[in-house]
Amino acid sequence: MIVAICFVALVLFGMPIGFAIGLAGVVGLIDMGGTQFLQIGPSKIFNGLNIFPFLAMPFFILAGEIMNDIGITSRLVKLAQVLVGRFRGGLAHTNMLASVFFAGLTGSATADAAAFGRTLVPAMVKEGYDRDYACAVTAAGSIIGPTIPPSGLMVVYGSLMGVSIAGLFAAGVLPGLVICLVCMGVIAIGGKRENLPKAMRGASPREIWDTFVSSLTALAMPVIILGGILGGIVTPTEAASIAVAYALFIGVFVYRTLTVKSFYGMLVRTARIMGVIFVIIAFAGILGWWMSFERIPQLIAETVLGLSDNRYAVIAIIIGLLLVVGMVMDITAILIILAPVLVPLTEQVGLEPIHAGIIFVLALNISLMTPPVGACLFVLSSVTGEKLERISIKLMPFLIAEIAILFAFAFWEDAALWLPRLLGYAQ
Amino acid sequence: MRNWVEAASAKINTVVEAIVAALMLALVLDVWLGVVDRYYFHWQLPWPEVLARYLMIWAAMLAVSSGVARRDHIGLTAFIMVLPHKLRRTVLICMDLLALALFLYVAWFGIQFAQSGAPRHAMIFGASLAPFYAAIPVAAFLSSLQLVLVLVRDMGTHIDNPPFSDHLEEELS
Repeated sequence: MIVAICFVALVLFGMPIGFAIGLAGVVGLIDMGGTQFLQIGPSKIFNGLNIFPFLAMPFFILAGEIMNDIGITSRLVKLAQVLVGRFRGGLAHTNMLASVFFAGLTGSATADAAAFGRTLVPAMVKEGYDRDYACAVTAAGSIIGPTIPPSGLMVVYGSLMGVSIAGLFAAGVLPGLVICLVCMGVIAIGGKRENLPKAMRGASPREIWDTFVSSLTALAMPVIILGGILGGIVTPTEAASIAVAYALFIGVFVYRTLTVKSFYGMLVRTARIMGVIFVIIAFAGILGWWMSFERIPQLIAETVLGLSDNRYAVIAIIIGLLLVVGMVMDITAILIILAPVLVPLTEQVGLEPIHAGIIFVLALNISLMTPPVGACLFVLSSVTGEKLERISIKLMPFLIAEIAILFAFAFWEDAALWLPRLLGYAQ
Repeated sequence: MRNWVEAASAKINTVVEAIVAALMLALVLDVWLGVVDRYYFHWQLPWPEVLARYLMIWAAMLAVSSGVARRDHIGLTAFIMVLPHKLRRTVLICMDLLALALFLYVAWFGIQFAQSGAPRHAMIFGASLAPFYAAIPVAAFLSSLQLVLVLVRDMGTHIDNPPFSDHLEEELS
């Protein structure tokens, strides 16, 4: 109890979440046996990080950094625009479709939100969209990034819970595409109410072809990553390292925009992002050890199952918990703290590990855009200067639609596991 | 005094970031070597995978201190912003002090941990594990140092006046 109080108090008082996890873990060690357990802290930190699949993360981040830097963004946006720009609210549809193209490059919702917040949102405002609506569309589309592989969150989940990362990647493809389609439906339905600009001139087949050809280098990246991993040819880490090599090749020899200085900046930024994520994972090593010593996951599982052992009720409780906690906490931290606690529950009700994983990832991705601390909302508000609460209001129809998709995939196992089963990752 | 600590923090961070960039580059080259070996040369080298893990840990842990210097580590600000300005500053200074205590704890016990690696050998040319384990105390020491410097630099004002408020712009440019 004292550990939980300590953690909540520290987080409320503004301590970075990773540090709060560490201090709560140390309080747990002291609570267990005075100072005698303190010496195990550093080894738990080291062992918590010494996991090979984690290596995929810096490479995916670096590949995304390079692709963003060398001007892939504008080509992908243009491709999306010639494909769907002809409809009413064309740029809103473009935003959504470009999120799908981007998803195969970055795997980070905040990176997508930041890039589009700087490029597409001003373009939409210039064309007559309300800025809060443009931000809402961008936020709604940004979560497609970490849903369609590669996804940093899936790498962390798979590494920590011993679930096939390739299987999780496969499971993310369909929900990501469905989110895109449903959100485009929401845009179309709300088109008149939001007074979205009418259709632009439709692109000619020749224009579409030319744009497609000029985007091929960018579109090849997801094919390399997904084809290699899902085809069982390479591991996620190897695919990620090949993606970096490919992005460097394009930047140096094809676009010729990559410089040593800019590459240095990308290496540092990648490490900084890693530092922010890894400090949470590192200190969670201490807290996690204390939790398993005290049998916290088992106690929580018994308590929840005492309420109901119905499979659907348990799934709903887990989703509800993830969405509520996700409103106030960083999603990597939630994953690291709650996955070991909640996954035993999913096992008890017979949920396939990859299915449980995709439920976790989808729920946490959605919480990236729930107020008050949804990271995508925060990034968009910072980049565009739009008020967070105004974006939140316009986001509501998209949020409801995405939560409905989450429940659909959570309750409909055949849909959630269609691709993993097809590729032999699930039974 | 504040200008001096700000400059000191920035200088240390510049050096740390240069080391981190070098480690990241080494990590990229090492993993590429592993891939080329596995699919082309078939030397079956046992060490690229192990070395990659240790390089990743060193790079990421050193980058923690960079995050401290730039106040990049994510925290919840909604509640603290409700508090009166003076109380907010006091609470944030206390949070910095508690974080400092945490990193000093890790640095102190981390030294013992690194020493425990000395008689053990990694799968990298029989090297001792001590230099790899040392990532923990070294990173914790650097983070402690940066925490002291940014504590003096910001004095609990970092949420009201983020020291790197332009960093998002910079990251995106």
